[in-house]
Amino acid sequence: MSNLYFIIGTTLMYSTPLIFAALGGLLNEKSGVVNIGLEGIMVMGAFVGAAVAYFTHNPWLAFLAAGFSGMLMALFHAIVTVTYRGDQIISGLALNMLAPALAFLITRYLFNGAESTPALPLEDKMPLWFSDFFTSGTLLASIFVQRSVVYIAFFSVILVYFFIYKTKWGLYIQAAGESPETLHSLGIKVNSIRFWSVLASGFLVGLGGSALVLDTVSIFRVGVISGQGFIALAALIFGRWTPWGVYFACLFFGLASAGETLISFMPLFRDIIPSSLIKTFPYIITLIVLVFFSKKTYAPKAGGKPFIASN
Amino acid sequence: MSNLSSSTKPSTMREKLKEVNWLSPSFLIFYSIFMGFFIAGLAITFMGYNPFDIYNTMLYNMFGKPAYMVQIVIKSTPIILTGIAFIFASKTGLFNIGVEGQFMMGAIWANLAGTFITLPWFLHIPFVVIVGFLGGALFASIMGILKAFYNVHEVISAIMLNWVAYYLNNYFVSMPFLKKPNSEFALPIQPSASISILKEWKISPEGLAWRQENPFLGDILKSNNLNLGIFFAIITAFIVYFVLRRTTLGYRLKAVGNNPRASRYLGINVPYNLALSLAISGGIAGLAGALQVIGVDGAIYKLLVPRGYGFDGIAVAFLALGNPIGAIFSGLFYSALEVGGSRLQGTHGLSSHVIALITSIIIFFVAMPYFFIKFFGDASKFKMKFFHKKS
Repeated sequence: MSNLYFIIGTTLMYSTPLIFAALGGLLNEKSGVVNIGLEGIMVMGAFVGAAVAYFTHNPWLAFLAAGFSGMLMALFHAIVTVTYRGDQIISGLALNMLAPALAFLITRYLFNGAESTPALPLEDKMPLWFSDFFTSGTLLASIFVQRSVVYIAFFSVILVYFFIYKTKWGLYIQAAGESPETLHSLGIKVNSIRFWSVLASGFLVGLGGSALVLDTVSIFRVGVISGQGFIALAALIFGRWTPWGVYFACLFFGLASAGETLISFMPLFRDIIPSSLIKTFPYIITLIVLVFFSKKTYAPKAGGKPFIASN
Repeated sequence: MSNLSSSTKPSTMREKLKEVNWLSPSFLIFYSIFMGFFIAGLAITFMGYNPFDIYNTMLYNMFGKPAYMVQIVIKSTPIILTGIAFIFASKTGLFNIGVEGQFMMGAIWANLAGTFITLPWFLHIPFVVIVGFLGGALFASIMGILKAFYNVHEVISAIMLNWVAYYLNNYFVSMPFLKKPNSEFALPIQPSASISILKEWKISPEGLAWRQENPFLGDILKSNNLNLGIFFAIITAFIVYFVLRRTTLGYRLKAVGNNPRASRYLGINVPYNLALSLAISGGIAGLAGALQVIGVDGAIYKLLVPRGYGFDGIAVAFLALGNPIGAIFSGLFYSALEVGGSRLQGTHGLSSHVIALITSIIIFFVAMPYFFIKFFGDASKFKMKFFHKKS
């Protein structure tokens, strides 16, 4: 039974950074810009989150700062791909090199040549919510007693859902991704819609990076972000480019990671399967899921191509 | 007007300059490189260093001693090959980010073939190289099959497979049958599979004496990872260039990349050719991994982070503008940057991440030729073709 509670808790914990990142990816892909640089933005968010929390002892400030740092990173992508019509994949690739390089350069600069930030004490991490409401060790406690980022992630899904489907700007974003010519003919600037979508996306992805540091690992070093940005992209496909689909896809990938952690703790399995083989588990699960969910594509039709107004 | 001036021979310097297409792809690469150094220079200044001092040190670290230049060549071998691998798949319109994983699989297979099979050297080396090629090719085929038959986007599957290869590498290193006891390495390959140059002789008494007498060549020999890998890389570049330009296979793959629908009507089996292109591309990446094992490392070892040769290779491919022979030069350039930056930490306390900063800015600018078109204000001369985009 405690295994089940453990699985629920860690699933929510592992899926939270993915949810932020995938929602960010959703926003810019809906507007027609593909960004494979989510991973790089997450690295920057994780660094800024860790550094600001260390200096100010205020996790909320750190969380927000990480969002803005993600926005700044996304600004590069927006300038290259939207303003200057660059190749979106190459730019994303460059972002994946640039952001970690900057993050580690600044880490060295701030912490006297160290390759990582100092570990955050427990009180500098995001607060645990509802720990007084539920007795520990029960099912309800394992679901609801979570760090605040878990809740924020959930509410972000609702927010993004309403924004994309129920507001004027959301409809513009969808149109920019599906049929930019139509939007252009209505006199709305497709490229500024895309530009701001990419920035907003960067904010969410930056939050995702810091959620990992302020919730789970409490330190920024090499390898803290190991493929989450890319798994978030897979979650977009799995979730068919809808906010709730993406949410459940991320929960699924979180479950795969939680399963991996659980197996590596269980002596029975640990002796049979080497840990490095268990670690391939989430990635193989992702591949299998992709096989079933890629047959028909739900991606925005004008995604990946720069928009050039014809007149 | 332009027709007229091109028919008559330009006489003055001024006219000659007018003839130059300042927006040709090779110029764009040079502008991008300039911008990379310029903007990174600003960042370096901001961090309180003198960028000219840093760049000067980098230049010395590249060309100050013969041994440094040898390092550039040795370190260029894997990224030239992963660059060529990426270019090969890109001709079929595929974005093979999986070169990283295919490289590691090639290295694993080559390690197994080099350690557990005994052959005379003239058979063993080709055998290990072929096994490495197959290792990469088979691993890339997973991606190819997923792409061709299940429509899984190759970028996503490649990224997942890269992590799988990374953990498989560590898995093999930890296996009792392959692990070198009390180390983080696998059992080394047999000497008969090695392509190192004069590894035994140069540390023997005669070798040491000879190196004393010939300081220049002696300095070159000092690098303990001196090997023949670069020749494999150059030969591969020319073979790939020939295959893409002069064979029906190359023509077919490019046709699929240019226009899959038209290719289907011409009777070309599109899924098969997509998978084939990825397999060959993965094979070249696997070859790079095999050469790294038999030339430099001698065995695979436990990795703490992915090796990065894949992503470096993609950067090399872009700087080469999709030309396999160009990849030799851009690989050397990229490797020179890495070698030049690697010792900055010791001399200046500045991390080698500066190199990633420079290269990422270069790639940003390579991604947006339109920036320079706007800058020069003449779009009519602009022509740049790297990817064969699917319609």
